[in-house]
Amino acid sequence: MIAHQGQSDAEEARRVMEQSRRERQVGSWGKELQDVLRAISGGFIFATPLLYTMEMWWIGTTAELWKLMLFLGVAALISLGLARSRSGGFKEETSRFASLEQAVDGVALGLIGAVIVLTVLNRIQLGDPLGMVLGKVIVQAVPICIGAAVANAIFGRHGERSREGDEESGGSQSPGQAFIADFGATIIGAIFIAFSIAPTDEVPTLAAGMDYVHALALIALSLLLTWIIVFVSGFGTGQHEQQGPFQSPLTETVLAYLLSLLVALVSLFLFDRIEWGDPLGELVAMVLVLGLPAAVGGAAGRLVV
Amino acid sequence: MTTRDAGGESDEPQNREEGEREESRRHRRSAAEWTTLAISIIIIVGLIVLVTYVSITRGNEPPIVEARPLLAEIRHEGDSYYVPVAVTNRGGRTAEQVLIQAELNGSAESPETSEFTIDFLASGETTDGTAVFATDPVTGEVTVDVASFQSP
Repeated sequence: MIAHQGQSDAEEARRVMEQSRRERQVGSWGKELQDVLRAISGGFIFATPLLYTMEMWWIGTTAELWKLMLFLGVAALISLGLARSRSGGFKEETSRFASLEQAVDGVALGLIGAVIVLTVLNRIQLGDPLGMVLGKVIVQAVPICIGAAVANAIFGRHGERSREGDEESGGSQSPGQAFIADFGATIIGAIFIAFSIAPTDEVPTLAAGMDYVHALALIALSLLLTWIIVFVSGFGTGQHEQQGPFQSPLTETVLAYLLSLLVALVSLFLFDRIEWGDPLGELVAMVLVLGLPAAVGGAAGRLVV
Repeated sequence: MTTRDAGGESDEPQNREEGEREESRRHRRSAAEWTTLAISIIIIVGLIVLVTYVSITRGNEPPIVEARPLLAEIRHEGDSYYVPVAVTNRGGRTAEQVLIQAELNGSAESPETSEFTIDFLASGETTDGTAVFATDPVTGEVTVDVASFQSP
């Protein structure tokens, strides 16, 4: 009887272990995706102001490629060092192999991110000389790479930071309060980044280069980045337990983007970049252009507040 | 490493330890991580190949800037005639602040002039500018000159 029970216990344990192993195998892709999304979030929060700097585009045009490659190499070394530290990188591990992996992934992510953003902002086009495109992409990959390497410091290791915040404030919050807290956090975050870009000449310059397709792509990219940052800063790990009308990732993303566009509009108005009677097309283009950094800041707002 | 087993479950320490070690190994080098790493390495190697290719083919000679009017694309809007001008840099390095001057020698006594500046012209790049004249360019002769440029 006892032996029998022991056997069934062992069987049970084996079944549980098998199940958890299977879960982990499926989960390894999910976990990797989460790590990559965290890297993207960190990269863009750090790099957005530099992506909106025309001197950075010029450097890409005028500087020699070997020098830019050296710069990217230095960024890779920095992210290698940061990944080795306990609070840096964008993964949990700090082993030598994992750090190397994160440095390599960070550089690749920076390159992909730079290509996407520069294409959407119409800074590079098909048919441009290859050397110029490479220069612009490499120089913009550097801040994204460094941002990815500090993602853990921004978001906390596997969302610890947002979990703490939720436990402190989320438990007793009503849906309405949670909504207002998120609302305020989004506006503050959006102001945080949008105000440093709104007075610059980059906004009208970029807006002038926008056509219909680029504007649509810009909206899509802004929404995607907002969703990624919202997801990484709490939803994906299941710590965002608040219940309410605006507490699903999709609603929160759309809402955060709309609020960010509003912040962009208001800050352009306050900095006297737009006024009543401006052509509507130009106004919309400028708001959309500033909407991307505002959305990145707005989505990251929950981390600041 | 795995000796911090919870007490009371020491029936199969061997098995458990192996399982955990196996799990931690899989956790470290999962297929997902290898895939990401492989894609990243391909991208970086691709970049190095492209940079090498560009560096070899482009050369390092100073900018050679040429400008030519696109007479087939002249537009007539209101009282003005728009003459597009294509400016190309065939040199190896970037030219900065390229000043283009266009002149129309028409029926009028003094020639009509127009000029524009291009901020940056990378190696191999072609950019369009527009010269604006008050008289019809067809009645005279349009000449386009590269007046000056800076080296960054």
